[in-house]
Amino acid sequence: MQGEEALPKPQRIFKVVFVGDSGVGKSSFLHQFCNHEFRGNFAATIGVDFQVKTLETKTSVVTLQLWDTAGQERYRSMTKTYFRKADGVIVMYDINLEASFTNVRNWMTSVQEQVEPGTVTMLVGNKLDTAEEAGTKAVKTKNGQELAKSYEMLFYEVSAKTGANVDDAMEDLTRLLQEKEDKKMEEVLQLTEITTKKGCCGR
Amino acid sequence: ALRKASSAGRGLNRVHIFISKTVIKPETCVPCGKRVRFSKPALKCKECRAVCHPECRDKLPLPCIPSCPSTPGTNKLSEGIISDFAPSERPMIPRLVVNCANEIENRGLSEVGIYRVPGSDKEQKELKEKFLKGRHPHLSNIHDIHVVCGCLKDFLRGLKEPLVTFHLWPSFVDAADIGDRNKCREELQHLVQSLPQANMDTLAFLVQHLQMIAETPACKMPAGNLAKVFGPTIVGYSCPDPAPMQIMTETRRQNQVMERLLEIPRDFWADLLCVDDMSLFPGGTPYTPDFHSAPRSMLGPINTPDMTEYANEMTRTATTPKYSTKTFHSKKPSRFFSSPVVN
Repeated sequence: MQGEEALPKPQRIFKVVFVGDSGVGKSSFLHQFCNHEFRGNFAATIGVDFQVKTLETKTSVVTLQLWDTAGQERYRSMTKTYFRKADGVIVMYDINLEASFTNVRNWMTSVQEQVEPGTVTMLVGNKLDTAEEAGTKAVKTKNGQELAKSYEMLFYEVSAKTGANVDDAMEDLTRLLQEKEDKKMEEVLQLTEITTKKGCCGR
Repeated sequence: ALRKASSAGRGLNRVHIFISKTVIKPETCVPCGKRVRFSKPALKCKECRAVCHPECRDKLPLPCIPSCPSTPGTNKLSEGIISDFAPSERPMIPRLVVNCANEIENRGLSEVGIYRVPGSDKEQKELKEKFLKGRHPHLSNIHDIHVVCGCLKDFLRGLKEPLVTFHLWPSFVDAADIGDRNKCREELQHLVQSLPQANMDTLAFLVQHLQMIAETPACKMPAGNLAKVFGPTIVGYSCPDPAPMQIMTETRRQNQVMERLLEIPRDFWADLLCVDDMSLFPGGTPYTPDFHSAPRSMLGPINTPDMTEYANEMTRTATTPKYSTKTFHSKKPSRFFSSPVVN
């Protein structure tokens, strides 16, 4: 184990895909997270967009590859291909729009079809600011929590506009991604140990 | 002024051609939604097959869009090209398209993200199915306007061939790429005019509708956004089943085509839809002179028209070409209803 510590820390790259109905604020969330500003231009995304953000956590430096997909219906068949080899998936809805929350189940169905088991998923309710200001909140926090629980997802309510909870959510996700990978690494190590032991006698 | 306010060109002012019948199988009155009871008289439009109570006839939404020639009811119909769903005479625009667009112009123009934000998947499918089965769904009963938008988008996207046709797809893409704006526009206009009739009519109608939305700031859907939403829906891909990589490369191009189409001035599109009035009334004289037909714009009123309002309009606007108020009043229904006669 000593030898391992001497090696430079392996920089981890996680692939995280954003999905959700059109207009819920996926691009705005990403922009807030990466550049700490809100654009509010409400421009639709074509196909897929891509951002990279490097985070320093307590133990290591992690790079997040963030895939921002278009929410338009036509692109859904294509979005699926981006789930492949994803380490994390973030499903987003608009707290003020009931339909976008209902559609989360549809999104989860296609996510579960494509991703490997053990992929970290997070449910994010966006536009917390308008929900609080205008009182247009249509999806209760409790409902969000329950849905997230049923799919074993992380859950956050955020505001891409004010930036509320954006960093918290992403830090939490990163932490979980790391934990999962640590666990995986351990498993792989154990697996190789077992196989080498069994190696010669077999059956 | 009225004409400018609405998005589509002229030509969409077809009126209903009623025949009266006695109801045996229970039928629902389209405008009021109530049953027409057994053995009671009902009116049925022989073009669009909408049924209504005799007293509700003026509330039947206009324009009348004749049902498509192929028999409704077959589910396979949902996989046709645009002309399979359009009436056989001009303007060849499917009823689903006209009704949905009208409803959206009526109450969706204050909605942020109209056409972008999706509605409930299930409701959208149900609505589309009703239209394709030849029914007359009540759009005002649909609470979420995004469902109506989704229905229209879903219908266009589900066509076997995009509106620009697979054959002309490459030409459209190339034309949209021409650097010189005037030349680009000329080329596109030429291509639009070489589309099959139903494709051209529907495209002309939709572009005007979208231009109207783009000009409504409250929607936050400028032409650029609409192009992204309608690129895959109207322009589509070069082949029926594009591979994911193909989708990637063609997406930007279809978006460009859509943007350029939306830049073509409204007059061009309106002129395309300008159908000679004679073709609307093949017999030369309209069968059922209806109050709303002439002075209203091509889209016609969607909501229950107020009779007095129309009567006023009649006297003010002298554009009613074919029939005078006098002829209207002098005619009794029994005169021009063919069979069977209602007493």
